[in-house]
Amino acid sequence: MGLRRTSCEVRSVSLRGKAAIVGFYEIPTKKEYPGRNTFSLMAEAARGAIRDAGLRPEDIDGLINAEGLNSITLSEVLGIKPQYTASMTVHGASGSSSVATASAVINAGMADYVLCVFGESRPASSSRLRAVDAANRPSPPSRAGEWESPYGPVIAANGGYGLIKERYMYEYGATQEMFAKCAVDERFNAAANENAVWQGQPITIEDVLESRYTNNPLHLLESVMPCSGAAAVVVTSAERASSLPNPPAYILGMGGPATRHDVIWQEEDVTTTPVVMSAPAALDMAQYSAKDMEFAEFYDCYTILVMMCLEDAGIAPKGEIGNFYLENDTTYKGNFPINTDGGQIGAGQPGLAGGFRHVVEATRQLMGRAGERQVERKDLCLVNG
Amino acid sequence: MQQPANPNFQEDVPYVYAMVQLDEGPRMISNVIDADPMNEVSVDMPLEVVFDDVTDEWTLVKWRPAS
Repeated sequence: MGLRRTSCEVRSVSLRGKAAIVGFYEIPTKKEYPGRNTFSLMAEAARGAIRDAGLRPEDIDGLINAEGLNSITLSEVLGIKPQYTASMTVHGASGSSSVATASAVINAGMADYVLCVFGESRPASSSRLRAVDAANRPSPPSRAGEWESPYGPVIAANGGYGLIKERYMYEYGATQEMFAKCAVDERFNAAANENAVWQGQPITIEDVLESRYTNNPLHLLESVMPCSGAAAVVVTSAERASSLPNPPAYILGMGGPATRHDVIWQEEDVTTTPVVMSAPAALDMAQYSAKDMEFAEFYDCYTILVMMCLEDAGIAPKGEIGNFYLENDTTYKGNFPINTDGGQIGAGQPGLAGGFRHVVEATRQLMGRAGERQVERKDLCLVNG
Repeated sequence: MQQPANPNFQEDVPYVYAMVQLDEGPRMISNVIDADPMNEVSVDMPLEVVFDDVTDEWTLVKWRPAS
């Protein structure tokens, strides 16, 4: 037996503005934290966020973290007893998804104060070896093992994104200089970010174009560096947020999917991302359009990915994001700031905390706490995981 | 590809790591051989299949420029 709607005019209950981020904490992203494991980094970020929110650990009754880390053990490490726990499994999108899920959980009455925390500790010296090892480890029969690795195992996502960038350049006539400008603007932002692995180290377009190919047409300097770090936020209802110390960062809209395929090159149109669906859904709930957005914090494992996602969100017409970067100042000083902390290309990628950091930086900016990197127009931010 | 994850592929660098669209519909990852990776391989170029018997037991499906 089942029930079936004959029409879909009511898609979902709108959670517009019903939850808010009320506290955040980020530890610096570094190449390594010798002697400290992932639990240690996450615990520091978690305790910092709880304190920043004006709360105590015993107030936290919801916990959301990343795949691969036992949220029950993490609760014990933190000394909290949540009513609700969950681990996100959407890879890089886990961070932004956690905040959307927190909003739903809070509005369902399943928890009042949800802690979202992400982090990773990895030894720097073996970072390349780990990536190599991960690519070469014998595994049960798998798509990658049978259909990809025999043609050359790839490090991280260098294979797929090299292909996609090549296709994008072919379809839309984008030049290498456009991608380099994206990296340059992000590294400018990172240079002013004391938490960034590339703090104080801006680069030029020539630097990017002269950096070696990892997989032609991908250059080293337009890719993330795997790092260690952690970050956390606390989410609660809009009502409870009003009595806490920080100006609330209201969650106005959210939408998915994060992805439909485990590898992006299996998308029917490889130069279009699921953001064509998730951005309109989020903007629709928020009752705003892409043009209303004042700055953006978008997942940036590689320049090609952040750029495709931005245009799929409506920040520029399809195929025009390259020109958008050449014609606009996307630094924190510019007319449309993007990845104001340097993103992951500028600040480093501490595992799944890298994608989550876009949420953290959005919160920091919305609360007016970004110091030198504070954007002037700080009321509406579009975030993509 | 300039930076393979497996040292056994280093001697082939640069080699072509490609996404190939079959006429029959499916898409696969493979290599394009018998062509200069930096100068003779381009997006949407027509290809024909090459069955590479890499060992006595294993054959890999590779591609070369269509003649």
